[in-house]
Amino acid sequence: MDLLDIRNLRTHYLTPFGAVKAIEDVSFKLRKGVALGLAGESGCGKTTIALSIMRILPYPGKVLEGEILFKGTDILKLDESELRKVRWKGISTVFQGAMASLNPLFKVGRQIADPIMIHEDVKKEEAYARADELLELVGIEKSRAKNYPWELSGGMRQRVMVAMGLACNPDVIIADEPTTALDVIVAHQVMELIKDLREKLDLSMMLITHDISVIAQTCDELAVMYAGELVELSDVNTMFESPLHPYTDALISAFPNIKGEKRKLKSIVGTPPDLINPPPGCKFNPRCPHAQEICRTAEPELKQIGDNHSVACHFWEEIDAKR
Amino acid sequence: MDDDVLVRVQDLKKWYDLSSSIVESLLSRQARYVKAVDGVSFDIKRGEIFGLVGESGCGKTTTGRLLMGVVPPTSGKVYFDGVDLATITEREELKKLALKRQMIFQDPYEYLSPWLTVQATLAEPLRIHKLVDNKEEEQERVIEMMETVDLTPVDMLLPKYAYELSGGQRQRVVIARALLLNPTFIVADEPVSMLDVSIRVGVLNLLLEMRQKFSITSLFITHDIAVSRYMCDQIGVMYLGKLVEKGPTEKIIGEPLHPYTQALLSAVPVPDPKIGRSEIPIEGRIPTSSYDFEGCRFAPRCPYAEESCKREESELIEVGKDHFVACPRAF
Repeated sequence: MDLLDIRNLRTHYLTPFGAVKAIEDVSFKLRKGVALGLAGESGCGKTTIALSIMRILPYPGKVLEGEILFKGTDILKLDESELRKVRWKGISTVFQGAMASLNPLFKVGRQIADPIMIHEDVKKEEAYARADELLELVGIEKSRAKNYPWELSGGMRQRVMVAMGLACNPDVIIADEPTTALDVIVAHQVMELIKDLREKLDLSMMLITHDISVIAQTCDELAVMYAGELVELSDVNTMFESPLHPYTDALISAFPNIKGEKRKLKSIVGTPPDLINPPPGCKFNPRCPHAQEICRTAEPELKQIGDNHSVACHFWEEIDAKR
Repeated sequence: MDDDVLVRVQDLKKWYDLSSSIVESLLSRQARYVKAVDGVSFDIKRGEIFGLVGESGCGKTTTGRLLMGVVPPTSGKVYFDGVDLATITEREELKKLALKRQMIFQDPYEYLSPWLTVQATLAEPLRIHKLVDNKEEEQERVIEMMETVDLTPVDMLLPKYAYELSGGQRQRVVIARALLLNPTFIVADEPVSMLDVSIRVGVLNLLLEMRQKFSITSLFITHDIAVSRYMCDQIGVMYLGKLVEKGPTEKIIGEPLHPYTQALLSAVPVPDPKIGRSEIPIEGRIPTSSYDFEGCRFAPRCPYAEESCKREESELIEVGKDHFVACPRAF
């Protein structure tokens, strides 16, 4: 079953300098029990997707077109009270930078219990008891519920964020760069925790990150974004074995590996485009080694080319044949 | 000293005094210190890139700053080209030495002056150190260097201010500025950690090319052990102010012997879904401050720690050619 079905989403930031085309016609699905990784560089629109789904886009962001179907109902058409039923219980988020997301004035136990009291019909004691349980689930002693966020380490704060995300038993959890601010070893611990919980609780997850190696280790499917568009979508094994879009290929070859042979890393020439005035045609064409005349005039569509594999490139067949 | 060693660091220490006021330091019986760097020794051979790897707070940046001479060490020695840096006091000599050692910082956004154009930023060091005789020569050197580090089109970029450049371009300006002084030694402190994935590799490859071209020796500071594998000939792994393991890159990556190095390596995500990570359980995290330690600093988190580890600290011991480990389990 498709838990989330995003269709032709277009989100722009309407700034005085022109519309920043953060998301242009993006469609994808998240099936039950699946972990989908959304990868791309900063400014490619991956966080804007999360904000659009949760309907917490900051001013001057606006969803111009599209549908976001959650279990068949369009989130974009819900009013505030209906939306409240989806947030936390249906879809919840774990953002990066736990210090900025937690309130320094309240004890973490209360911050986890609060959404439970608001969204579920339970007594205060019950909510606090559940908060304790959640803390233990993420590997923090329940006595820590009485601590303020600033009394915890970065890794523990991020664990509290995960516990909050799970507070109301959501169907989908959206994790936006959950480990980016953390040190390697702590990041690894948090990622392993998320992986374990996903199995234990049968969660569906959307993991947003710039680091495709994290996706390789934790997700089932991978969607690659470039300049506000999806360029390739597939299961992780296929994607890492035979990436078809030149950008995916470049992204994968840009990560140094500690396993296997040491190889020369290939860089991508140029810089990501200005999203107010993106280049005509394929947005990747100024940086693409395969670009030809057609790429500068016609924008390629995201085409399904196999079971669960889509790519938006005029020359995917040639690239595939050359491999 | 061997001729092929450019930089030698001997038992280098930097302790920061924590007593916040004179009154406090008079009252308290014992001074409190953060031992940011606590007895580090290594050699960097000419033309080599030595990688200093560790988590935040391990003292790697402080070590880099000590090597640049921007902070004085608490104790220990830094030899540069056979000369003990602490013995040089004459201003002219210091200036000459400063020219030979340059630094590339993590954040090019902070490092470049918002008031200067690319042209002014690059010409300034040439003028200050009187490396050029006239305007024409100055311009020539600037343009030549911009082409070397791939800051093109030169004409378009020369009049731009730092805020008009992309992150990758800014970092190239920083690199060009360092190289214009013909340094023999560069300290690169997390030079790519602020850059986007697609830009990062370009800067790393540029640094490798520059090493070839100008035969520059470097200290490369990074938290990312995968990047250090790509860049470095030798790697030193730091934990709480001490080196726990050092040796040739392929040894450290392929046959890590210290439990901390092993944990660090097993925590790195691999960009290949088919390779599972070997699990080496490691508990807890780095203690935030380092007052006093008894025994091995890693013992409280080490899965193999024995009673003796909590009492005695082991020193770096050579276990293979140029491969040093500070752990009794390794030998």
